[in-house]
Amino acid sequence: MSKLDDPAEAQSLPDAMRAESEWLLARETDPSAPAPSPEIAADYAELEALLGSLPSGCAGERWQAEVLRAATALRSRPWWRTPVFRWVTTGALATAASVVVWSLLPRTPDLEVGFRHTSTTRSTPGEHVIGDHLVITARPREAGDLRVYRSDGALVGRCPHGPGCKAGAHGTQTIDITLDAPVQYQVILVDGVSDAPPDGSIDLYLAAARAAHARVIIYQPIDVH
Amino acid sequence: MQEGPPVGSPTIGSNDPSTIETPAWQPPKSRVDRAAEQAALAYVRRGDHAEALNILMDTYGDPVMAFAIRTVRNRELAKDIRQQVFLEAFQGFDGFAARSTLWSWLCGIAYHRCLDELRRLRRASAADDLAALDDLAVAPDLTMEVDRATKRRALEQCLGTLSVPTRTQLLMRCLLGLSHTEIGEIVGAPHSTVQVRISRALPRLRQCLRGEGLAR
Repeated sequence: MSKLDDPAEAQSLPDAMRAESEWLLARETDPSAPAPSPEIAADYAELEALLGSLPSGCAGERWQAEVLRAATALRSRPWWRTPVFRWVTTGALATAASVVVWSLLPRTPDLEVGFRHTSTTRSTPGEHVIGDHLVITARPREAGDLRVYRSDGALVGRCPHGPGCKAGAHGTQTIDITLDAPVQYQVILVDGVSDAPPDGSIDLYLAAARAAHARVIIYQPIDVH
Repeated sequence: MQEGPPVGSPTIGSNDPSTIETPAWQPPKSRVDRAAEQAALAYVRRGDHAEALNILMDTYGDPVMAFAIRTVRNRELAKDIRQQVFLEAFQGFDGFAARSTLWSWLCGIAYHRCLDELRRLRRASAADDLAALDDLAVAPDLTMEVDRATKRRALEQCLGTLSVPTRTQLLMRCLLGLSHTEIGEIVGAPHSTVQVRISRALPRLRQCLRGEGLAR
């Protein structure tokens, strides 16, 4: 029975076979290396001759014409039916499909709120004091409107086209403002509306956004001491 | 272990030790046909791949088949592999960088297609077609003396006892005439590993033949 691999073959050979194996190895570099015995040398000579003359058993068969026909058919195959073209086309189509699916996937608008403390302020973690910077980065899915209102009704940050606004790549909006009053600050991202009222109170603004069926994301109120 | 052959059985070598001569050992003869290779390469350069293929099939078709049938041990599979080998060569002529001989290149293709086939079959023994190998022991030379046919038949059986890596490397060396380095490049092993593997396989093969009463 044949095997795909046989660990037993890697095991050490019996002494007699090992001597023969060592001689077979030695004669590769020194053809005159002495054999364990002349009989053994003659045995191997005949064994190798037998191995070298094993027949194909197919002499005289007309197999070549068949291969040539298949080869010619391959050669004359139009380029768009070649395996390479098929692979490239399949790859390109798969890539295109992935891009389309990815572009159609609903992307969640992203809103990140952070704080930068200046050396002159003494805020503790989780507590915000006058002088701290409020840094908001928004990545709206569609046309977005990012605003920061104070609880006294003042609009202190707005993106795009407002105070503290910096537009980045891929529609990213960043507002960096100084927290300048001991009040509550409210961060609002309205996604999917382009005609939100340019000013007005927070209530009017939210009402207009909701009336336009825009997505409204309101960050938790920020208390400043 | 059998000490000797049964009375009247043929053995490898003469039965009379006093007549044994031990000529200097010669490594297996390379099968590379330089003239055929040059002609084939000239046709490849001219873009006449069909003619190059013809030359290669004429020159190397038989040894490729002989190797394939002993590796997969099934005549029909071996025929398919032979066809695949030459078709693959035909498609690969443009990429042949002449860093090796065409023969060694073909042997590499044959080796890998045989392994593919064996992997497909999962078990090497699944496709054993010993009747076909028996036929090979007496064909095509029907006038071959009986003891040689017997030895060849036993050899075919004993080859089947070797693992596929050992068998293929032994055949690449002794049947296809490749060097250890060429075999190593094909199977992805150092030539020294190939050398050791083959030097251990031959005694096992001789031992097997002794078991069949065909060696001293």
